[in-house]
Amino acid sequence: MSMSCHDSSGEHVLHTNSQANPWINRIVLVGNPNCGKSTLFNLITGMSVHVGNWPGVTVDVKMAQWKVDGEIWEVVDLPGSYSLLGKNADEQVTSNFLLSQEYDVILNIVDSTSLERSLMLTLELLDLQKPMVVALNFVDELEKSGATIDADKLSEELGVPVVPISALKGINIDALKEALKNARLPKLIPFNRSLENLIATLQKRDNLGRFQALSSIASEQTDMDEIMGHLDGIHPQEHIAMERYRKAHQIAMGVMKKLPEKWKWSDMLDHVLLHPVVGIPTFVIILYLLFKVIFAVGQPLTDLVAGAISWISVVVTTHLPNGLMKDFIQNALFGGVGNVISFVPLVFVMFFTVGLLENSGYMARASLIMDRPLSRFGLSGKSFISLILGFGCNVPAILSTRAIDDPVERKIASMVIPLIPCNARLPVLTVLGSALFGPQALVAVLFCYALSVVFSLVLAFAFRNVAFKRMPTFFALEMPPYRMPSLKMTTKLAWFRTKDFLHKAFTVVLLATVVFWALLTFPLGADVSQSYVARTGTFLSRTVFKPLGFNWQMSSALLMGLAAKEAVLSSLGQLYKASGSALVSSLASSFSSSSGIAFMVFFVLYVPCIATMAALRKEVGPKWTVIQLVVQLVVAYLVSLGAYYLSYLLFV
Amino acid sequence: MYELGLLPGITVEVVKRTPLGGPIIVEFLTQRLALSLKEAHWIHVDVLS
Ligand SMILES: Nc1nc2c(ncn2[C@@H]2O[C@H](COP(=O)(O)OP(=O)(O)OP(=O)(O)O)[C@@H](O)[C@H]2O)c(=O)[nH]1
Ligand SMILES: [Mg+2]
Repeated sequence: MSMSCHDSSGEHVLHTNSQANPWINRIVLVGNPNCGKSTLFNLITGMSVHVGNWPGVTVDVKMAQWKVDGEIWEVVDLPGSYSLLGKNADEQVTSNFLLSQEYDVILNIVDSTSLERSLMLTLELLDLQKPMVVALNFVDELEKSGATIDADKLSEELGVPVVPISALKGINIDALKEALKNARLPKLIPFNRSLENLIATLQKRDNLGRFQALSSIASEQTDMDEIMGHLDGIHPQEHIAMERYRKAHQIAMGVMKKLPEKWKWSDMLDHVLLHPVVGIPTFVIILYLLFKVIFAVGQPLTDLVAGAISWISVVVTTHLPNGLMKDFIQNALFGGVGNVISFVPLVFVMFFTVGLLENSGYMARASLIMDRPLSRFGLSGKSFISLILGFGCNVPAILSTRAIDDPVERKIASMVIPLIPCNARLPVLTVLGSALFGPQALVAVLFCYALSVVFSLVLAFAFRNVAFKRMPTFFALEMPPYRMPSLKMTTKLAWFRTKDFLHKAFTVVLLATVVFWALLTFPLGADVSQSYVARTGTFLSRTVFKPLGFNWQMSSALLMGLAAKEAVLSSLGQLYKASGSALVSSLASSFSSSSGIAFMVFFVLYVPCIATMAALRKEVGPKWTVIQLVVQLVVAYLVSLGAYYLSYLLFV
Repeated sequence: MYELGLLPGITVEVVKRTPLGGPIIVEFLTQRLALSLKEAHWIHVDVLS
């Protein structure tokens, strides 16, 4: 590496001895989607941000510290980007950060198994004229494929240090540190003469930096005639991209020894998994196994935790004197929040198994298979993962829609997720189903699941065609190769998503259960049937719910369900003063089969819990949240009314 | 599309069709991208003509 301060090619060596003179405060990680930025970020900072074998995993800016030889560097993880001129939301986060924030070094992460493509962004970054280092990630895979890249030669071409690393295996990280300390301003890689002339003209005329001049040409902010005169009539953004591609191609061909064969295995798998005939049943079987495994593993764990929590609740409360305090601890804390916590294992197992599928690369294929079917309803294959996550918990599912790049589709997906029955709705449905249908409960539960999936699609269709009369933007998804999913990463990912669920238990749900507990307990001294909730429930049962035949207990329980869906069960228990099989039989004797069926249908379709509403508000804004809630409530009411009359005709 | 590296003049190879008339997978710049049929059709014509 050059040690002079200024050499003939215009390179600047900023500092050669950083120990004596620390100059790095902040490093930004920039690269294409799915190139391993977050993996590296986690490795060097010890953080655990979300990683996945899927482009668009990181959606906002994450910062953490990296301790290097007594210095502290702040590291910034940015969303993946193909171009700083890119139009999608993630890309804009990245380019805004790079253009407006302070930082000292750009660490450009390059997926060495697709060097040519990655270099397009690298070349663009060079034009920012900031100190830079290129990390050639995925060397482990590159080596496996038999290909090699001449890092020294690449470094010479780009004028910045180039270090082959593996973020996953932790290879060469020390070399990366050294390279960062020696980061230097890149050399200028010129475009063709006419473009360079144009850049120079603009820089002088408007007093712009090189990058600013380029982006003003690309975005056609400058005088069009002038530009077109220079560029032989070719669209300027296209012209610039072509130039970069030519350069990237030339550089890549010069430094690669043999092209990687990373698709060999993937192609064999895809031959089966994306087969026009075999692919569909395999897809169905994989989904079936997914849910099978989730419940086979998650349910016993959840039962275990629920048992433990109720045991603790008994231990804690037996020594307390009867009264308000005891009631609060027993019903609001253990009954409400404790109940939500008992779902953590199930939710975690759900996110873990889905995460395995995501990280293996299969989820990307599943979204291709589902693209056409979903497109009939105004969604695309990209919504598929979010919808599946909704079966675990609606909150992280809504947050995950950020990976969908079409803003209209993102909105629609967020607005239909509340109709997907989350794990919390299952126990309520099971108890209702047993009360109504005895041993046939499972059929009734599955029917409710099918009903909510159907109506989420119907609603998607309605939103797309009535509310947003805009065609979906084009579908383009970068295909990841199949990879052996790493257990450690998948665990982290699942934990990351489960945290949203836990967060909900300790904030919104805690608050809501306290409020609803108070409404159920006051006025003091009176029976539950005289509480504020019961009075409201009674009012509802005599008015809006009268056509559906819901009694006051059912109406009150639905109100309690706004805090958390599982609260419907515990409040039915409180209102009927029974639990377990006693509750099932009191339920069975207290409602007719028509109103019972109507209740199940209404319960599975009506508005989501408060935590989901909060997530929705964050993603789509207050206006659309209100619209969504009203629509969902109306749909639930009408469908339930239909179910009431239909079952009346069938069973009476 | 330009940002994805999908530029006029580059060679795009269709590597895989997906079930149910889903997006097709194309390869270029040693990279793979799934594109809906409509888009892919448009690109194809544009490139070859
Ligand atoms: N074999 C191998 N896999 C890696 C390496 N680095 C990352 N991966 C895997 O590549 C996938 C993508 O990693 P991420 O760190 O999420 O990528 P990202 O660049 O942050 O992606 P976005 O946030 O979507 O832009 C994950 O499945 C990682 O496990 C590596 O050096 N070798
Ligand atoms: Mg990331």
